[in-house]
Amino acid sequence: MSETIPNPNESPNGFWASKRRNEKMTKIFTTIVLSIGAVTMILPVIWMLSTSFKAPTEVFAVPPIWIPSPLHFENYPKAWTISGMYASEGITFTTYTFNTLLIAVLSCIGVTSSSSIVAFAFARLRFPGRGPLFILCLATMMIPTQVTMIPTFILFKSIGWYDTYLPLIVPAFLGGGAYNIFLMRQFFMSIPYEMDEAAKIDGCTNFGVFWRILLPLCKPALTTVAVFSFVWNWNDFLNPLIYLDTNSKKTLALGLTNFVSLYGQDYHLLMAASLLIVIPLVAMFLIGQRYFIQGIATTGLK
Amino acid sequence: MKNVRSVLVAFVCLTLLSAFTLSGCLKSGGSGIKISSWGSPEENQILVDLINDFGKKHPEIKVELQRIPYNEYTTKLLTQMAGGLAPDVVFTEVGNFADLYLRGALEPLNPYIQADHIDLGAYYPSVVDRFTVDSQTYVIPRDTAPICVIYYNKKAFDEAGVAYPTDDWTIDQFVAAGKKVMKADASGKVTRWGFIDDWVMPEPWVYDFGGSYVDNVKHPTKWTFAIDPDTMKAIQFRADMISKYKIMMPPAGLAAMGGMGTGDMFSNGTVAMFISGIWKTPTFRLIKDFKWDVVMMPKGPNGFRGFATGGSGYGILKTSKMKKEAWELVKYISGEEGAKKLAQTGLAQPALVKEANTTFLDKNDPQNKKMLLEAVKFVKYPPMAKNWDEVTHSIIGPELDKVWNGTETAAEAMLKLRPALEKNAPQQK
Amino acid sequence: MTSAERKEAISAYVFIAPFLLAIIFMTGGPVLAAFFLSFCKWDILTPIQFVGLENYKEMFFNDPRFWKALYNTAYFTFLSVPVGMVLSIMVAMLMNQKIRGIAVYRTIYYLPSVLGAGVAVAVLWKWIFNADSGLLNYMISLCTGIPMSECPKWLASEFWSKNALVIMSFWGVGGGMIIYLAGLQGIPTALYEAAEIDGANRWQQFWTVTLPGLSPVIFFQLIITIVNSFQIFSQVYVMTDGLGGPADSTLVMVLYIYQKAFKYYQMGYASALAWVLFMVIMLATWLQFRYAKWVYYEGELRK
Repeated sequence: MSETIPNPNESPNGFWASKRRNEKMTKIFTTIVLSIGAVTMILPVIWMLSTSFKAPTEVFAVPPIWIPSPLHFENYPKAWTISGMYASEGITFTTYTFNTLLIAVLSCIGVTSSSSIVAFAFARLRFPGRGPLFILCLATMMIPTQVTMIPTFILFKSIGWYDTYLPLIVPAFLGGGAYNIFLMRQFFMSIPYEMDEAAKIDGCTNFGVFWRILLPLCKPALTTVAVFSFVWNWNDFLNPLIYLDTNSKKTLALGLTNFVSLYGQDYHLLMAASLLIVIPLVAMFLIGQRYFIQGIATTGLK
Repeated sequence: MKNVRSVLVAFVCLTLLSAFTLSGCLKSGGSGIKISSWGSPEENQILVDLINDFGKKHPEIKVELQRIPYNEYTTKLLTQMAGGLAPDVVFTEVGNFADLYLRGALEPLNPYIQADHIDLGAYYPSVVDRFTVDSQTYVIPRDTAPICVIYYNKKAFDEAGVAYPTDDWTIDQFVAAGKKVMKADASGKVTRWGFIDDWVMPEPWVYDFGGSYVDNVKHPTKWTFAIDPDTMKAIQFRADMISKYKIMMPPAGLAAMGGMGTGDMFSNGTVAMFISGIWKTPTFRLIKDFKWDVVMMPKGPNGFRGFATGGSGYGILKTSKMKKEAWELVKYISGEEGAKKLAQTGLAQPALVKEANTTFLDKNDPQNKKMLLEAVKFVKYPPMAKNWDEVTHSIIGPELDKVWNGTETAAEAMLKLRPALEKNAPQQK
Repeated sequence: MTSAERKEAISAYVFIAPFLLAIIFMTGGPVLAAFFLSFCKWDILTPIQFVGLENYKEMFFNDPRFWKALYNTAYFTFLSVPVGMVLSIMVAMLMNQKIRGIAVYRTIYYLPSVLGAGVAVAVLWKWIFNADSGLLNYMISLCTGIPMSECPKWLASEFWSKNALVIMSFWGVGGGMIIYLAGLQGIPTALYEAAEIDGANRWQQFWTVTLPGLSPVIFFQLIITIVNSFQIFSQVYVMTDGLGGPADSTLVMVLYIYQKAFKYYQMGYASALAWVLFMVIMLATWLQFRYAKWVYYEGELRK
C-alpha cells in the first residue's frame, strides 16, 4: 500500500510535472489500492451472502460453492420467522427490531450528549481534581466486565431495573462511557484555545463556548461517537441477555440465538438472519458517512 | 444560568425516559413460577406446548418460560442466582446437574416423589441413577443420549463393497471399514474420510476401551485418567486413527470447524462414518443424496462396552418459593406427553422406557435406532467433582491437543499429566 | 481562587456531574465489590469465604495457565496494535479524498466491524482459517504456488493460532479508519496551503502537517487499542468455543477470567486475575501518558 505515498525525491519537473496530472494519477492509484483492499474486506461478507442462499448440505461443500444453484430465496422468510419464534405469543422479528431500535436510538442520544459535555469539561475547564478524575475515568475501561457483571446485576436488580431497558440505556446518559469521553476530549483539545477566548470576550458562557463554538467544529467526532454507540448497542448481546427476561422485550441479537442450540445449527438460516440484522446498519452508514468529512476543513477555520 | 438550564433539561429527559421504560416493567413480575431452558426451536416448541397444556389443567399456576441460549445458559443462570432471581424449575443436563448438586442448589425430590407415588421404575434405571446421589433423587429425567451412535453413509459402503456394519462389530472391523470407504482424487487429496467425531471427543473411546477418568464417579477421590493403562490405549487409538490408520481427518482440517460443521461433513459425503448422539437425526433426515443408518459403536478390544452419555432432566432449585407448584410442573413436563412429543421429533431417546419402546421406534430413519434400547445399559457418566470441568477442559484437554497433533504420544501426555492431576484432586466439598 | 476561577470550576463540576453519578452509583460499587472478591473464595452459589492473599499467591506461584494467558495476551497486543494502527491510518488517508464511489468504499471497509462477533461471524472465520479447505490457504496457495497441505494450519496449530487472531483483527481497521477520518477533518486546510507555498511536497506535508495534526487522535487510538487488545475476548471465545485451544495457545486473559468465573465457579479467583490485568493495562497506559510529549494539542489547556 505504500506506493500511494509519492516519493519525496521525485523531481517536480519530471513525470509529475503537471499538478493536475499528478492528482489524476494519485486518484487512479488510490482507487486501485482501495479496490484491492475492498475485495479483501468484503470477501467474508460475500461468503455469508452466498451461504444465506444455500441448501444446508452446500454450506461447507468442498470446493466452496460461491453461487448456489438454485438460489434458495426461501431461506430469508424462513429465517425471519424462526428468529421470531414466539409468534404464538404475538412476538415476531418486528418486535425485536423495534426493541433494538429503541435501545440503540436512546443510547445514541445519551452517549453523544453526555460524553461530549463531560469531555468538554475535561478538555477545556480548570477545576480541582481534574487530573485524578480523568485517570479514574480511563481506569473504568480497564476492568474486565466479566468480574463486575454480577455485582452490577445485583445493584440494578435491587433498584428494580431488572427486566427493563434502564440498565441498557441509563449508563449512556451518565457520561456514555470512558471511551467516548476520551475520544471527544482528544478532539476538543485539538481545537485552538483562542476560539474559546474570543467567544468569552464576546460574552459567551462556558456552555455557550461548548454549544456554539466547539461542538459544531467537532461534528465528525460526534458522528463517530454516534455511529459507534449505535452499532455497539445494536449488536450488544451480553447486556440484553443478562437484564431482559420477558420475551416481548428481547432484542435482535438475542433473537439470533434461536438458531443456535445444543443439538445443531442451521448455518444457511443463521447467515440469512445475520445479514438481515445488519442491513439497517449498513444503510444508515452509507447515508451518514458523508458527515465524517464535514468539519473544519469544509467550514473553513482560519 | 445556561448551565443550570442544560442540566435541568438532561434531568427532565432522564425522568421521562425512566417513566417510559418503567411503565413497561410494572406489568411483569407476577407471582407465577419460572422455568429456564435451552434448545432448538423445535425442542422449545415442545416445552411451550406442554406449558400451555399444563396451564389448562392448572389455571391457578402461572408459568413463565425463560429460554436461554445453550452457550450462555450457566452465565445467565449464575447471574440470576446471585441476584436472587433464580428460576424455580431448571432444565439441566448430566454435567450441569453435578455442578448444581455439588453446590447444594438442587431441592431433594424424594419427599415429593413418595407423596405422589411417582414410579421412577418407569424410567431407565441407569438414567435415574445419574440424578440420584446417596439414594436421594434430584432431577426427573427427560431423555438419555448415549454417544455410541455411529451414523454411516450407505452409499459410501456400497461403493467400497463393504458390508453394512452390525452392532456386534469390533474395533478392527471398524478400522478396516474406515480404510476401505476412504476416497481420494487424482492428486491424492482425500475427498472422503473414513470417520469423524462430532467434536474432539476422547470420552467414548476411553469408556469403550474400559478406561476411566476417576476412581468413583459419584464420590471421586482420585483421577485415574493418567494412570489407567486402558485409558492410555484409548487415547492412543484415537490418535492412531488420525496418524497411523489415517481414517480420521487431522485436527488441522477439523479444529478450524471446532465442532461446528463436522455434521455437515457427513451430510455432504465428505466423511463416511460419524459418531455422536442420536440428536443429529433431525438434521440428517434432510440428506437427499444418499441413504444412511446408525450402528452401535464397536465393542472395545476387551470385549467391553461403555458409552459416554449426555441426557437431561428437570430439577427444582432450593431457592424456589413455590416448590409445590414447581413440582406439579416438573411432574407434568417429564411425563408421558412430553416424552411422546420429544420422541416424535427424533431428537432424543426419552428416558421413559415405555415411550422409548413405542413412539421413539417409529418407521422413520434411522432404521437401526432400536439399538439404543440396548445401548442405554452401558452408559457412563462424567465424574461428580466440582473441578471436573476445569480438569477436563483446562488440564487434560490442552495436553491431549498435542497428542491429536502428533507432537506427543499418549504415554508421554499421561506422564506429563500425572503431577497436575495429582495436585488438582477431585473436589466434592 | 479568584471568583472567575471558582465559577469555571463550578460549571466544570456541573458538566461532569453525569460522569460522577455513574462513577459513584454505577461503576464504583461493583468495582469495589470485585476488589473485595479478589481476596475471597466464592462459587456464586454458596456463601463467600475470605481467604486473604490466597488467590494472588496461587496465581503468581502456582498457576502456569495464568502466565500462559498473560503471554498470549501480550503477544496478541504487540503484534496486532502497531500493524493495525499503521493500516488504519493509511486507509483513512486514502479515504480522505474525493473519489468516485468513496461512500461505497468507506462502507465496505467498515462492514466487517458492523458484523460484530456473533456466531455467524465465528462460523465465517473458522471456515476462512480452515487449513484444508479454507479461503485463506486457498488464496495463499493460489498466489505463492505452495500446496495447501503445506500452508499454515492456523487454528489447529499451537504456533499459528495466535497469528490467526492477529490477522483476523485487521478486518477491524474500519473502526480506526473512521476515527482517523474524523481526525483528518480537524486539520485546517490553511496549514496545507501554507506548507505548499513553502515548497513542501506531499510526503513532507504528511510528516509536518498531517501527523502532528492527527497526533491527539493517534494517541487516543494507541491507548484504546492497547486497552482493548489486552481485553480481547469475544473473537477468541467464539472461535475456540470458549476453550482457548489448541493446547491453550489462544488462552487470553479475559477468556481465562471468564472460564474461571462462569465455567469453573471461581468468582474470587477470577476477580484477582482481573485486578492483575487491570494493573498491567494501567501501567501500559501510564507509560504512554508519561512519554506523550510527541502529541501536539492545538488547544492544550495552559495551567
